[in-house]
Amino acid sequence: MTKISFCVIPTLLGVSIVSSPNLCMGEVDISGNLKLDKRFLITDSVRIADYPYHELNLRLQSKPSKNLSLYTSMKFRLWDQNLASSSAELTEFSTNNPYELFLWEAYADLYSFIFDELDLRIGKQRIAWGTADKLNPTDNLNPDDFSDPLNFGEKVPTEAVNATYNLTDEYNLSAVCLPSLKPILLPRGEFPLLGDANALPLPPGTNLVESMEHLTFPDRKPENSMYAIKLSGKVEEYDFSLSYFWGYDDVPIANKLVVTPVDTLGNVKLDTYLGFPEIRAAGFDCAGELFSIGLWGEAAVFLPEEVKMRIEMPTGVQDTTILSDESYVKFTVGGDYTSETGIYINAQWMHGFFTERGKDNLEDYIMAGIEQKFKNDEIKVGVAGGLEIKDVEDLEENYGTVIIPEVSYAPTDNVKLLFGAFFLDGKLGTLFGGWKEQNQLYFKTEVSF
Amino acid sequence: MKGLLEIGVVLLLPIILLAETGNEILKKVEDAMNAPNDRMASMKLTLIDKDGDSKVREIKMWQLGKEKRLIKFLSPADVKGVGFLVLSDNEMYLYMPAFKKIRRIASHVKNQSFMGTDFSYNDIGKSQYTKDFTAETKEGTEKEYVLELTPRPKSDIDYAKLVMRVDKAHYIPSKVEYYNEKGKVLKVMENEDTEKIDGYWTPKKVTMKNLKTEHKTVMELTVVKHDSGLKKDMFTKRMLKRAE
Repeated sequence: MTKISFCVIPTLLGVSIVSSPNLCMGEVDISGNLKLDKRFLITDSVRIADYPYHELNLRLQSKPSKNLSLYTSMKFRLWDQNLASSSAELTEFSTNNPYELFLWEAYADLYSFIFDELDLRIGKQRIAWGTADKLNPTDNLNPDDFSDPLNFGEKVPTEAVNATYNLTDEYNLSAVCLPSLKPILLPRGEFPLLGDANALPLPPGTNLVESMEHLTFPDRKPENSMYAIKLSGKVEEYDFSLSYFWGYDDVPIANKLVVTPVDTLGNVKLDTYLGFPEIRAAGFDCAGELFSIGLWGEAAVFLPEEVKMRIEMPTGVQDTTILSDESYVKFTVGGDYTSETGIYINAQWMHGFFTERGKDNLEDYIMAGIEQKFKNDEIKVGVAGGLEIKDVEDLEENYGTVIIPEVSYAPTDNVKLLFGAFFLDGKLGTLFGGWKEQNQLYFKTEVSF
Repeated sequence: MKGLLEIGVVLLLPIILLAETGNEILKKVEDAMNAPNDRMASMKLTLIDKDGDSKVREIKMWQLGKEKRLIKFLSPADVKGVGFLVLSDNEMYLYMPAFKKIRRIASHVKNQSFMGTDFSYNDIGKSQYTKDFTAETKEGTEKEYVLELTPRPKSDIDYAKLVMRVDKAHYIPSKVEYYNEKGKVLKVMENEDTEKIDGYWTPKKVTMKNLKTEHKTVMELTVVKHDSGLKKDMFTKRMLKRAE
């Protein structure tokens, strides 16, 4: 960590904030970490996975005055991919060392804004709602971050104004406005996360030779802003919150497919039109303990907009409902416990994966993990596992599994080495079954500064 | 003979009446440790393994009354910004800045290591002994009481007993030994450099040693301030996630 004092905080933050006479007097904390990630796919033969990335995180934080705090974080990502397809492209460094530099978070905290009890956070921010462990159905304000598809529960910070009024020491009311929709972040390379939009049964005798997707966002108008409110408090020994979200789904859904003949030989091209349906979600979560066991529960009732898909083929037009406006519930319940000998156990039942939509499309996932630390937390050994249940009445043909053993070692402060594996299996049509080509070993290094 | 016994009893009566019971001494220990209305301290925690290799953590702590505590990690970089809030025996929260999330911690962690140190969450999170223990006096010295503390039936203490040496001058424990069911000492805590700060006896150095792993943690108070008027609203989730 380094501390510097300079006058460029507003520029670094990239946000407009109320000018403060002390702004240029603030000390800036610089911290961050470097994460190196190498993965080997091991399903058939050993090869290097192309979606992981190395990442340098740089964080700047300053508190120029008692009631003002500024924070920004930047990420520099480097993928280990060779993208050049001709010798001419070898002249470009970035072709064979693809990288991205982006502003991840940039916000100002204004404490006791106008009223003593009101705190305001303005800017690009992560708003984490829910009490479950990473599997949060009420956490819908930021889009899903599947840039690392096996790191479930990550989200992308987005622009927002987040106001929290502290009604009492235990109760508070939050109101959030997100000016525009930001979509899900998908992994680079080939990873079957959302399924294949081109999996359309074509008329007999036709052959797909070209495919194109057209993604349409809601108009960038104030009336298309997204909003959310949340009341948090405590009843007896349990923390709870009630929330409501008005906005858009961050996962695009196909609403029109157009099949056009390109010649008289039966070759066709497919145009897929995708949009982001409106969605409402009423959420509830709670956390507490019973007999020293930590317990949490979280549920959201989703009220989606009906999405009809029009399929235009040379043989005719067909309309089909792809997402019903019938409400559906996603939930997670779980608990954790640490034994006298220090063994930590965590188990959760999740109904509805992040990318699953619609009442009839939600599956059940039982996730559990066990870990133990040694040598004053220097070494951590754990194994996590998951069972996906697509159809409980015919489980033998409708299950998926994931097993994730991991060992981490911190040889010194600020350095962590991780070694682990993902073993995925399952039947066709299940989430984990669809990923079984992704069985892998991974080696990660994290260095903080 | 009977007369002599009666005289002896009469002579000893004031001493018997004045002798403090273990529980009374323990109450005084608790009162001495919690004498200030509030406390604000900057601490340096040095983790030393059996080979002498050390790691340093810096924390800031605010305490109000016997129960409420707020702790924030200042260094090293990989734990900077982590916050820990204790509101009562069964209400603890951890703030992890990387996830921008406050997590409720159940009491099963109370006897576990606090962030890799030899102190448990219980050691860090509370300074109330009478609620969890009953005390009996053992043979002490001219300067120290010796108490044997036994966990109350429904307490969630993992130790079979504690043996506490208490300085008669100020009722601050100088040494506490933590025993398991087999009568073996697991950990030893020693308070050193006890001095009056703002009118309150305060140990400026606390060492917790794990005898099994031969690992120890030395907690040194670098800055201490008492009765600075901390308010209840300092000990809230709102303040837990607020930047230092």
